Amino acid sequence: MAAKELLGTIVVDASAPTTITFTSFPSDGTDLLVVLSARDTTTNGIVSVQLNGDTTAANYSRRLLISNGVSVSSTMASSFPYGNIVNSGQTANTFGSMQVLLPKYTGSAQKTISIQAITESSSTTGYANLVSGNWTGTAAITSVTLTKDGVGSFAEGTTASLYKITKGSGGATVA
Amino acid sequence: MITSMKRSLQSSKTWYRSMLAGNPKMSYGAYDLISTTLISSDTGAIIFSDIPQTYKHLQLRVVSKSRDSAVSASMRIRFNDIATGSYRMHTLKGDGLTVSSSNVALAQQFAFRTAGDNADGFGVSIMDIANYADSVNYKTVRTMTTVPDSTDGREISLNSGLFLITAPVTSILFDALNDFIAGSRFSLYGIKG
Repeated sequence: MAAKELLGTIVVDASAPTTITFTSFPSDGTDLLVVLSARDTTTNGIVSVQLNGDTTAANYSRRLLISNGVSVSSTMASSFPYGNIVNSGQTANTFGSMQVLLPKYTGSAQKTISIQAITESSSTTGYANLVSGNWTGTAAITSVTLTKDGVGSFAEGTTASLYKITKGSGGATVA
Repeated sequence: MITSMKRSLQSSKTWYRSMLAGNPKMSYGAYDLISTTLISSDTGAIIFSDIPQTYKHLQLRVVSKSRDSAVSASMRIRFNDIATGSYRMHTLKGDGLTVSSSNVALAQQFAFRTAGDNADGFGVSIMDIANYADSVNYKTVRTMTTVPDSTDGREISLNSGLFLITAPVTSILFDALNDFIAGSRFSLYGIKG
């Protein structure tokens, strides 16, 4: 079994969806990884992560370290973990790069959501996010939704890929 | 246990020695090593050329150290041998004492950090290039870099880069101002999507 398998890719067309959802993926892996290349149709530029269709913000928490090319800040909240993507006010033909790691996605403990995201533009403004998130659900993850937070939608050309990462069996065995 | 095989009397059958029957090796993995360069002596530049255009994204995993007499040194990166003002960067950086954010105006290359000759160890960079084979949009680069040192000059940074060229990325050049030292390793991976 390959250590990293592509489970599926979603390419956004001109329909401007507000969510991208992966479902019906196998439960025989160790971690899940989402790789997102995205642009917002509005100046909002925020994508949040929701698991198993749980849209209750209070079931999530987040800690963020954010920079914008000039200053740095750190925030926390009891709400959906999120990352920045390129928005419509930034350089054309440019997409943000984000990855979401969901370790031990089949386990019975609360789920960690680890996000690394950057946006770029030909200006002084460019966001970099390091996000530590938590979902209080203890069920195995069966769906992953990337959602436009509040306003806007995903622009045409946005792509999202879901990968399954499987622990190896060589060397010391870790449960 | 098979002890012998006999050719079929049916003349229309085609026999193969390999169970692959002339087909390419099956691979379900999404992460392929394209090329690795491990240098055995001081080297000024490393280049990956003729990069296959058959993947969705690229990832570079670099473990490197420069002859620059400092703890942290600059590592320049160019795509497609383009050395015009087509590169833009933003950085989030911490050194254990302070955290900062910066941006770099249009430049002739990306300039990320690596370990200098005075660092305790080698620097590590993991660089992701999304949709590198796209011929319509600019290319976005996301890089996590660490420079280890037990005393001073250490740093960790999350960098973003924008290559303001719509052509697919076909080559990547790494250049240290004062040579990469032996033991530095540069690995290029293709990621399916």
